[in-house]
Amino acid sequence: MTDETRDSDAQHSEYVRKLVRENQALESSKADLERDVGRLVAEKTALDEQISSLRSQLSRFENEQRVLGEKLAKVRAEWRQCSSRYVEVEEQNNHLANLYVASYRLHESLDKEELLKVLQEIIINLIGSEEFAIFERSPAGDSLDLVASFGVDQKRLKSLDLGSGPVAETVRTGEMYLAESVPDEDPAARRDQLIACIPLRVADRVHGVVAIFGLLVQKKELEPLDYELFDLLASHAGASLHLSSIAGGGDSRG
Amino acid sequence: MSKKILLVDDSMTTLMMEKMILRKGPYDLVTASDGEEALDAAQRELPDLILLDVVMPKMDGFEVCKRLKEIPETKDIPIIMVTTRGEPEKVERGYELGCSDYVTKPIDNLELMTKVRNFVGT
Repeated sequence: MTDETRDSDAQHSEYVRKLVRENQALESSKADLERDVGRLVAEKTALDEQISSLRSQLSRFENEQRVLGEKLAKVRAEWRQCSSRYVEVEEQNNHLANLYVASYRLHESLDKEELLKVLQEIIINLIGSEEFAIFERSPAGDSLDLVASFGVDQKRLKSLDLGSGPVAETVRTGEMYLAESVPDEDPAARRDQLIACIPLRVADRVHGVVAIFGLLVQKKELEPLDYELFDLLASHAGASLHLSSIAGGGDSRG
Repeated sequence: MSKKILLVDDSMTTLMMEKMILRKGPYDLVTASDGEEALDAAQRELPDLILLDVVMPKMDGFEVCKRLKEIPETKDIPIIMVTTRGEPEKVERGYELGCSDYVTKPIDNLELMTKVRNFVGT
């Protein structure tokens, strides 16, 4: 064997050893990678299971949210209904309180001056007018005499003949007169325009009337409560006024 | 402890109405029927709130409000003016004199209760 051949064999052997080492290293890397793949597959499986579980939780939560949303909508609807009912009840309470106060006050005194003052207070504070006149029928029954007023020309309204017009009609029929609409806010522009004329009745006879010419500036129209107060005035104020006249020893007009 | 409210009005009808509305709340109600009586009652009772009518004989509500705001013991008591006149200038005058709020007549019970609760609670 020549030196050349020996060198070549040595190189070859070294090359083979190197290849074997590299192959072992690759085998080792392959084994590592296979372990990694196994671990990753296991992790992926676990994550898939988690995702699946979270999806089912999400679906359950969405379902619960929908149910709660429906319940909330129902509760809100009930709350709105209760609020509206509360407002209605409060309105009724308000009506009853107004009627009670008006009725109580009208029967509090048999003194005519005091009664007229009460009547004015009711018209100003409960109905909301500062332009009105209260008339009593004259002893002869053919005219109306002014007995109290607020915010109107007393001289002009001192006495009213029962010829024609809404006031005369109210006295004749005993029926309340109500204008179709509330006239202009400016008092000068609506001189003598009646908003309402309420008969003050004693049984079937009209003892006097309350004539309302204007409402307070913040009150734009007559409301249901006003009609109830008008009815109350028509029956109770008339009787009280009549009784106060008798109690005072004056003429019991009408 | 219930809150004390002083009601001031020369009209018995309005006082009765206010009492009927406010009786629903846990309030101790005190009344005065004119300005001077209101000044005395405010200093004596030291209420938590005053409902003060504007139009009164002798001393109107604006004057009462002004005087109450000058008295150290009563200057911080909130005042709700009760007025038949809802014109802006009347309302503005009340605010200038130190009133805290106002209600117009005819009194609406829900409005009054809401405003009273704003100052003294339920």
